[in-house]
Amino acid sequence: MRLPLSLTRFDFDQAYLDRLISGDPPTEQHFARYFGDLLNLKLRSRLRSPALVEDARQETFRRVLTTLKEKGGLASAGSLGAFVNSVANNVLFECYRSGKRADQLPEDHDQPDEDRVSVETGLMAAEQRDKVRQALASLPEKEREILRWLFFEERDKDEVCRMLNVDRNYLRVLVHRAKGRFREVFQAGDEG
Amino acid sequence: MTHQQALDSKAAERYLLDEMPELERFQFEEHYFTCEPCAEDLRTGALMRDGVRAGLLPDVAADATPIRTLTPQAPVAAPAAGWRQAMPWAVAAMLAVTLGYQTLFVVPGLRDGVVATQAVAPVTLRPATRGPEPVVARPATGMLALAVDVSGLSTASSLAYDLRTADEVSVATGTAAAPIPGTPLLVLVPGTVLQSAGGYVLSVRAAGEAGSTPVDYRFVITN
Repeated sequence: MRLPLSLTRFDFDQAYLDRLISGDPPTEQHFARYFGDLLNLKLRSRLRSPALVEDARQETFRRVLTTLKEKGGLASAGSLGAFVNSVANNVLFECYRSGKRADQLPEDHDQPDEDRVSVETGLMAAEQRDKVRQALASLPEKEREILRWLFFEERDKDEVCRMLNVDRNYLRVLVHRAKGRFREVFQAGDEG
Repeated sequence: MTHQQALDSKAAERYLLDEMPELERFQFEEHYFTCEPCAEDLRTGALMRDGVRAGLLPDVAADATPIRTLTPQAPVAAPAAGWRQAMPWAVAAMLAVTLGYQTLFVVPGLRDGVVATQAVAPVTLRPATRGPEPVVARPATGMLALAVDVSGLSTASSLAYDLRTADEVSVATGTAAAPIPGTPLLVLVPGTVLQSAGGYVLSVRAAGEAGSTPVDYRFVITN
């Protein structure tokens, strides 16, 4: 994630669409940042290669903007998000059909993805990385430990539940709480 | 998916933890692309998760390599007595497909922003060694719903599937949480994926278990 959590808020209304279609730079920048993040989240879970994710993201933007300019807008300006998501779905399935999705790992593959740390570190700009580090450091030790088990060590979630003596639903509650605390500190850093 | 449903089901957490079945992932994506609070919430969670993965926790060295811990899957406990046991699995499949099924893969220009709930009759697939192969007409639009009898894989907590043509060309792959014992795995295949008429093989195996034997399910698509 490259961007601050809080983007300047824009209403997705007809005026926004008009500015986007006319190529207004701040609106285009907002559009790319707002939906770029969401597309990354969506595409990264389905396409293994960062290059494929980037290709699919750019193709989605290209199609959305081309369609908006050709049609002069949408029937409902408020449906912009749904439209972007639908176009991304189409791009995704075209990737599947054309075989662009990265190959499946072999059955016996059991090695950690050595590129993963550098890729995810690279996605995060330096100044943002410091703020994320501070926000993570502010979490209670127990929450840090749970996050490490889940996302760094990628332990089996059932095993994590057994270690914590909780069920899967409560594990989600713990993650939710950690996320809330993380947000508070991160946003305080944004404002400070 | 409504905003309240997203909150009540802890959709953001389940999405980040990769606990959502594929259909629900698409439904949640349809929601968060139009819901700023959920988008913001998900961004926060993703930033936290990616920070942890990038080694930014204070007690993890920045250049450390993540350790992927593999543990044997615990056997799934016998289902508790109750309605789940009594409900025939095909009925459960029908309900699951009917509730909240959305038309996600229609060309955007044709959908006009309309998202409709639909009822879909699933095609039942059983292991290739049992009975004749189902013959199904290719859906011109929308999805083909497959209700897959995965009782032979009931000890797995998650399943990996691979849909291939008879020529062994993979057209769709993914993973999903294993269904409750006694109920089928639902796989929704966009009609656009089934480009050609002919035989298809859906292979399902226990995910994350090296060497697990896949179970094949065969069906035939006609135009």
